[in-house]
Amino acid sequence: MTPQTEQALVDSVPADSPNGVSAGTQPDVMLEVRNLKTYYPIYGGILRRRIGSVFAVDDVSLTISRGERYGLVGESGCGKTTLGRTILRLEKATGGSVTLDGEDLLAIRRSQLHRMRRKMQIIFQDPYGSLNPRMPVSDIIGEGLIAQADRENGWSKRAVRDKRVGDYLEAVGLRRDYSRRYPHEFSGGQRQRIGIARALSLGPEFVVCDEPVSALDVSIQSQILNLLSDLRTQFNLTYLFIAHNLSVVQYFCERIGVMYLGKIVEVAETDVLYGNPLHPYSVALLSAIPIPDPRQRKKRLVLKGDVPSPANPPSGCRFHTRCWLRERLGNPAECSTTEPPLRTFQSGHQVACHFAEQVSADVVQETAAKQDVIETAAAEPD
Amino acid sequence: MKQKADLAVYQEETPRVGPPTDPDVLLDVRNLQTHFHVMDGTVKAVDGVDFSLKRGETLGIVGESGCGKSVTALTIMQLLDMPPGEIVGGEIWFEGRDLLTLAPEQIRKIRGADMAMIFQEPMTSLNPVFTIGDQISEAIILHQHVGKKEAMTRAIASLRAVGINAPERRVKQYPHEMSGGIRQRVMIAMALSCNPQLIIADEPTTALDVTIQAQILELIKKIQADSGAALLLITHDLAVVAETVQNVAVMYAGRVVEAGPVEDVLLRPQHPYTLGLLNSIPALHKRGRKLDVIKGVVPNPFRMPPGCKFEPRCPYAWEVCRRSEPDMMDTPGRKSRSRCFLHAAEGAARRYEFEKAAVATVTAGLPEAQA
Amino acid sequence: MDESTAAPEVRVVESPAALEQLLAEHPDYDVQLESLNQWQLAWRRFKRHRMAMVGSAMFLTMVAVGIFGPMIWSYNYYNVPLPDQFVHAGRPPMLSPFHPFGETMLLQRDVFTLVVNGIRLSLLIGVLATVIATTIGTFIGSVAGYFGGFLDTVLMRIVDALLSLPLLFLILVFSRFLGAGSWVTVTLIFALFGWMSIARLVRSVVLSLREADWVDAARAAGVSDMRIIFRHVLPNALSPIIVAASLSVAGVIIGEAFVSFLGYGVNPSTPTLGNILSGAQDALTEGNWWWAFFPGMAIVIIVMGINFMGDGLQDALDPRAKI
Repeated sequence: MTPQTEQALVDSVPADSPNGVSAGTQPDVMLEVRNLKTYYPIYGGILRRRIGSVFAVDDVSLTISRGERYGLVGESGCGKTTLGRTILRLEKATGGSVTLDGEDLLAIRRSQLHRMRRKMQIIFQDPYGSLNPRMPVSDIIGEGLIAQADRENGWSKRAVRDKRVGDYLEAVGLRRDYSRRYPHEFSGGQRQRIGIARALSLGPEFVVCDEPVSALDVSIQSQILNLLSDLRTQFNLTYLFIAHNLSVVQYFCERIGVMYLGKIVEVAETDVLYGNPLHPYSVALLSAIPIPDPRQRKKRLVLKGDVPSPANPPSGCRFHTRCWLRERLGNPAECSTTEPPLRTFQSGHQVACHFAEQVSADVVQETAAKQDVIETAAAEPD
Repeated sequence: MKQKADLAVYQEETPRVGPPTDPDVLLDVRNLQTHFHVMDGTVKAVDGVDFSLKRGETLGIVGESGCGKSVTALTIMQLLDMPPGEIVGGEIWFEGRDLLTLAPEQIRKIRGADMAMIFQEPMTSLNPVFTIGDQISEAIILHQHVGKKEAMTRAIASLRAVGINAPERRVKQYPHEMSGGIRQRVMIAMALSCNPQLIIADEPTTALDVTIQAQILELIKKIQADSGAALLLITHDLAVVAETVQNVAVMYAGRVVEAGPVEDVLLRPQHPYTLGLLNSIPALHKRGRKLDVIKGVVPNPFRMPPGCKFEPRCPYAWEVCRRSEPDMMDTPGRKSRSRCFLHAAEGAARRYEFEKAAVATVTAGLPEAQA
Repeated sequence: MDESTAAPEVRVVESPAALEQLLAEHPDYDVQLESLNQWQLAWRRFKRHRMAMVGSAMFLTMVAVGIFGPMIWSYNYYNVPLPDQFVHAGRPPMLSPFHPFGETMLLQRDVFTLVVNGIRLSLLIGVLATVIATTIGTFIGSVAGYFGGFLDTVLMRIVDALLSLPLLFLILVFSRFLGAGSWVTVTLIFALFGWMSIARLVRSVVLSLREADWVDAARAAGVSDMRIIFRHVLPNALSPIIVAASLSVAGVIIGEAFVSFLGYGVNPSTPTLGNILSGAQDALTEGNWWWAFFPGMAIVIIVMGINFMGDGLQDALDPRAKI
C-alpha cells in the first residue's frame, strides 16, 4: 500500500468526468449517468397523502466505457439495484439523465425506447424467481424475440426464433433441446444460464448483472463467472456488475463504484480501490471481507450500527453516523453539516469525503486495534 | 452398505461402544444417518457422519447447499420434522449421554440450557408477537428456575453482553422493530442466556450484509472465547470458517470428506473437493484468468454414484473410485484426515499431481496477503 | 453439438423403482427429478386425491346426464296426459318402466324427464354465468393489479360498491323489470353480479406476481403490458381462478334454484331444477314427495361434486404442495 502522503489532489474537476476529460466527447463511452435521482413516495395518513420519500438513488453520476466491467458494491438498501433498474427504465427516475450509446434514455419516445431495449438487458439474482414457471424455455427466451421482431431480423417466424433460442442455449453451455423443458426441471446454475441466454438473445451491448452469482453455491458461482467473462469477449458486452460480495467484484471488475445510502462515495480502478481505499466506508467494507486463508486472520475494522433508513438519511455526509474516521478526528462539524463532493484524486480515483487525505493504512490499523468489537452496535439508531 | 471390497483396511475399525473415554470430549457424533422419505424415494441427507468436539473448541462444518450440514445440526438439536425425516442410525454423545436414546422430555431440558442454536434468519426464529425480553426470560425461567423479575434482569444483562445499548428499553421491543443485525444479536443473547456448553450456529451471518457480518462474527468469536462454550459453526463460506474456527469438517453429499485443523484443511487440502472449492473462490490475484471450476453438479440424491460420491466431478478419479467408496484416512505428517483414495496405497502414483496443484493454489494467494 | 436437432427424450417414470431400473440401463442418462410440466404434475396430484375423484365422478355424471339425457327424454310442455290415465296425486316412482322417478301431481309429467332437462338448464346457467363472471373478473382484476395506482383504486372501489349491494334483492328487482322468464336474462344477471369476488382474487394474485423478476425481464425485453398480463402473468394465476370458478358454478346453481323457487327466476314453464322444486311445493302435502326429492338430490349431487372437486383442485394446483 502506498503511503497516503504521495497522493496528489487534483482540484475541482467536475464530478461526472472521471478522467478529467469531458466524458461526452469520448467516442468509447457506453453509458453516462448524470445526477440520477430515484425517489419513492411514502404515503401515509387517512387520506394517503405523500408524507415523505425514500431517497433510493440520490444524485448519482457515473460513466462506463465500452467493453468495461464496472462493479457497483454496497450493502443492502444502498440503492445499487435501484440504480441499475433505473438505468434500464424499469424504475421511474425522479431526475437526471441516462445516456446509453448517445441516446438519452429518459428523454426518448416510447417507440424509441422499445428499440433501445435490445441494446440493454438485465441478468437477475434469483435463479428461481427470474424464470416464468409456466413457460417452457423456448418461450422464456422467445418472448423477448417476438417483442423485438421486425422485418430485418425475422424473429416473428417460429423457425428463425427456435434456431436463435437454440444458438443462445448453446452459447451459455446448455443443450439445444432443453428449450422444451420447464424451469423447475433445472438446477440453480442451469436456470441462471437460461436467464443469461434470455438477456443475450436480443443482442445487447450493455448488460446490467444484478447480483448474478449471489444465490449460487461457490462451485457453481465460478462456472457462471467464467461464462460471463467468455460471453463478454464473444459478444463485446459492457457490464454493470452489481454485487455485495466484494471478492466476486474484485475478481471480475476493472473499475468499482462504492455506494452508500443512495450516493456513490468512491470510484476507482479495482487495484487502486483494494490497495488504497480512501473513503472510510470503503475501508471498512474491504476490511470486513472474510478471507479463506487462516494465515491472514486479521484485526478487522468493524463499523458500528446499521445503515440508516434511506427515507431519513443523515445530514451532511451520509456516512458520518457510522464513521470511524470522524470519531478519530474528534467529530469535526463539517461532516454533519456539509455534504462532501466527489473529489478526483490521481488517475480517476474519486472520493466523497472531506478528510480523505487522512486515510492511510497505519491509521486503519491503529483504529482497528483500539476498537471494542462488542460495542459495535452502540450507534444503532432507534 | 459400505463396500470394503478388495481394498486394504487403512485403520482399525474399533466400534466405539458407550460414551467417549476422553472426558474432554463434549460432543461425539458417530456414524449419524438422517434420511428423508419423500414421494420419489429416500434422500440420504446425512449418510454416516462422524466428528467430535472438545469442550471450549470450535468446529466448522462447511459445504454447499444440499450437502447435509444443516440437517446434521438439526439432528443434533433434535429439531427435525419427523416424518419426513428419520434418524436411521448413529449415536450423538453429549456430556456422556446418547441424545438419540433420550426421551423428548429430557431432550427439551438439554436443548436451550446445555446447547443452544443460532439460526440463519433471525426474523423467523423470533416470535413476532412477544417482546424480546419475554422471549429471552422465558428460556431463563424454564431452565434456571428463577422468578420473572430475576429472569428479566438476566435477560437485560445478556443483551448488554452482546453489545446492545439501552437493553432496558430493548427488552420491551418486538422483533420487527429491530434491524437484522440487532435481531441476530438478540438471538445470540438468547442462546447465551443459559450458559450453554455448546453453541450451534447455522449460517449465522449468511442473511446479513458484509459489515454486519463482520460485527456478528467478531461478536461470536469473542463471546465463545469469554464463555468457554464449544462452537459448532455451520456455513457454506470457507472464508468465514478460516476466520472463526480451529477445526473444520468439509461435507459433500451427506458425508464428511475432509476434517482437521483449519490450517491443514485450507492450506494443505487433501481432498480434491476441498481443493476445488478453494480454487473456485474468486479473488483479486485470479483476475484476468479463468476461475478453476468443479465440473458438473452435485449428484442427484436418488442416484448417488456407487463409489466415491465425488468421483463424477473429480479430476483425479480412476477406476477404484468408481468401484468402491473410500473411508476417512490419515496422511502421515498431517493432523487432518480425508476420504480419498489418493492417500491410500493405490493412489500413491497419482498423489504427486494433486499435491502440486494444491501447493500452487495455496501459494498463489500469498502476495496479496497483506492487502 | 450434433445431436442438436434430435427431439429431447423425455420419459415419464411412474415409480422410484422404475426410475432405478431405467438408470441401471442408462447410467449416463440425464435424468431430471420431474420431466412433467406444471399441469401434468397437478393432474398427478389430483388423481391421488380420493375425494376429488369421487367429486369429479359425481359432477361429470351429472354433466353427461345433462347433455345426453334431454336428447332421449326431451321435454315437451304440451305433452299432457290423456283423461283416462288421470291420477290426482301422480303416480309414485318405480310403478312404470316409463316413469322411474314417478309422475308429478295434476299434470302427471314424468319427473325423470323434468329432472334430466332441469339438470341441463341449471348446469348451463351455472357454467355460462361463471364463464362470463370469471372473464370479467379476471380482466378487471388483472388490469387493476398489474397497473395499480389510480386505475386500481377506481376499479376496486367499484367492486366494493357492487359487493355491498344485497345481491338477492337486486336479482329479484332486475328480473321484475327485465321481465322474468328467459334463462339467458337470469344467466346474465348472475354473471354481472358475480364477477367481483373473482376480480378481487385475481387482483391480489397479480399484485404479488407482478413483482417477480420474470415480469421485469419481459418488460426489459420490451414485451407490451397487455401481453405480459395475459400471456405471462395470468397463466400463473390460473390455479386460484380455476378453483374459485368451479366453486362459483355451484354457487350460481344454488342461487338460480333459490330465485326460481321464489318465482322470480326463469319462466316456470322452463324446467330448471329450481323451477321444478317450486312447482313441487304444494305436491309435498299431498304425499307426492318424489317430485321434490329427485330434483333436490340432483342439486345436492352437483354441488357436492363440485365442492369436492374444488377441494382437490386447490390441493393439486397449490405449488407449495409436496409432490
